Amino acid sequence: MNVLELKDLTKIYSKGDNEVRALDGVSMDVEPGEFLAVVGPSGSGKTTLLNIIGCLDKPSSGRVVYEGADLGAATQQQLSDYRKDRISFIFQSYNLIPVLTVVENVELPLVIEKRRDKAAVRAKALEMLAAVGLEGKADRFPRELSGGQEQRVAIARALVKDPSVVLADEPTANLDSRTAEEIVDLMKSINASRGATFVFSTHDKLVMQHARRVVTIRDGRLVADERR
Amino acid sequence: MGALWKIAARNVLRHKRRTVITGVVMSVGIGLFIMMDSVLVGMDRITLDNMIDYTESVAKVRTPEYVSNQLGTPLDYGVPDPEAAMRAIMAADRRITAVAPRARFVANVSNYEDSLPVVATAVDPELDARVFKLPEAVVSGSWLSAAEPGDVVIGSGLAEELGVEVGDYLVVSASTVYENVNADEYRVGGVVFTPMPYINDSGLFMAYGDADELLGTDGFASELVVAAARAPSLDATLADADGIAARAGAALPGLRVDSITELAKDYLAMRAMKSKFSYMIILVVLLIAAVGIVNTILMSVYARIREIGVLRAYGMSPKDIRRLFTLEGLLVGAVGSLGGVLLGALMDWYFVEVGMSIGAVIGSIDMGGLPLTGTLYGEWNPATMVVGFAFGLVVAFVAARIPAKRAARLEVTDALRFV
Repeated sequence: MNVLELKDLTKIYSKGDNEVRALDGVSMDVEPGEFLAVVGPSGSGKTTLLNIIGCLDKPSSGRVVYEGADLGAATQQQLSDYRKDRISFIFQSYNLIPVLTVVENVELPLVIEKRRDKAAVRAKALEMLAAVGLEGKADRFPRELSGGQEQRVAIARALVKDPSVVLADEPTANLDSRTAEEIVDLMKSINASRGATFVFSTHDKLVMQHARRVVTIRDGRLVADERR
Repeated sequence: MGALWKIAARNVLRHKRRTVITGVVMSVGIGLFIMMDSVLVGMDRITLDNMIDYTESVAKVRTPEYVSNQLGTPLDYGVPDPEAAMRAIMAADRRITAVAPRARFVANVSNYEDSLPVVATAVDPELDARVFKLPEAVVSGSWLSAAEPGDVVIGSGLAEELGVEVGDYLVVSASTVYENVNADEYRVGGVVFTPMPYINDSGLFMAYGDADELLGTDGFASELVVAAARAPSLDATLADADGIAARAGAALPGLRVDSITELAKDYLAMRAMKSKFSYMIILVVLLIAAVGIVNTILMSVYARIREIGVLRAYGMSPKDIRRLFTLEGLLVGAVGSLGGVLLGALMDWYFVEVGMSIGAVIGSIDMGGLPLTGTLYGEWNPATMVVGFAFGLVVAFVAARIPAKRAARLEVTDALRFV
């Protein structure tokens, strides 16, 4: 079964009297364990697509089906709950919580889920930190880390709750090319070892080369879907 | 909630300057309120004590008819058989330490050149000294003595007005029971300076024997005045006085016993107004602090919009976001309120233990019962501290809810895009 099915998605933003068609009839399926890059120029609709896949936004029309469940009629609260349970995010600016330590940041999705067993939560967070190679930095604060290390923590945070889909919006845009490659390698190895589905947007050709599937969006339309 | 507490507490600590400024404003407001309350209660205490010690006593026993006609200071309607009534009063309550008779009458006093109206009081010098502190207020000469008839004690202002000193003679004239006017010559035996300005300006005291001769009375007692052991606080003083009056009243059928609560009811009503005024002050200061809290939390919200986006993206509910920022406000409020209570307690301690010079505060203004010299002490009032702390928390909660609601209403996608 597909982990995600998008059917004829349209998203229209109104700006005064003008309408902006950010997505225009996008349809695609995502299988479990895919490592998928969404590419396209700025303003092409990549972020809008990721927001809708991430249940952060609702399409103007069309259907979003997650593991067989149609989220088209879901309320904001239901979308929020779905996000909490099944979807994780990696952001361009890492967006770690500055007052929490590295390990507390990784624990955060489990804490938001209100998991009670503190020891199990801590053990899981430390396991994820080890998976991203930061086991020695658990008690540091984000301000004490480099950009690459912060993004590794963000990846650990995204994976800690074993999500169905990890969404990453330009995850390497703030990193130098060497660190960007390291991060993509890390994401790829976690994708291979844990089977987590990755959907990420990028401009970076180097990052695109690592993707096993590249979907190209232009003016809100899906213009290419290349599997490697 | 544990994680919310952790994030809230660390954010409060992270922005130390903001937290400290808001906390200090709250602390000063609440501290001033606690101190002001302590000083006001101290002023009330000293005022009531002075009324008890110099004019009213803890309770007064009079006939209902006398009370109805008291403005005319009649020589009728006195307490029947004062000796028996005094014995009954002493037996009525163990807290009573002394009882004395008094007869009040209006007189004119002359230095042979000028004449002034005075409120004269006939007293039993020994018994009266057990109820009132007038003997301690004598600044020249001595208090009355039954053994030295023909002496009067007058207030310091009156002595100055008449230009007389101890040893000089005055003529006192008054209406008698026979409804004629009698006059006699008396030696100024002593001059008193009390905290009660009207005693200083128009008070004249003479022994019962002299008053009976002048007025044609025979031990007439317009009132019996009652003394009791000093209670530890103002509220205890009033409660004791009410209890004593109730017991004495039960022992004296047909007589009216008024406690200091009734005798000083005008002052006590004014006191209630004063406390309202002090609450107004704290309200204004805390409103300023509330603006500070709204500002602090709003700044926190704006500085952390993307953080809010991340929390929402990971599924934190708007309710929990609202709780998070409300908690931050409450923590700032708790720090400020606690600081306020500590500051208030420190100032209270100073006013309770060291006090402040009354002259430096009120100068020579007539404060109706406040001494014009000496030291004013505050009183501990734990209830005020609890009220101050709780009020600070409530203000912080209400102030934090405004920006907290705003944070909870943010759209996730907008929050994540925010730069």
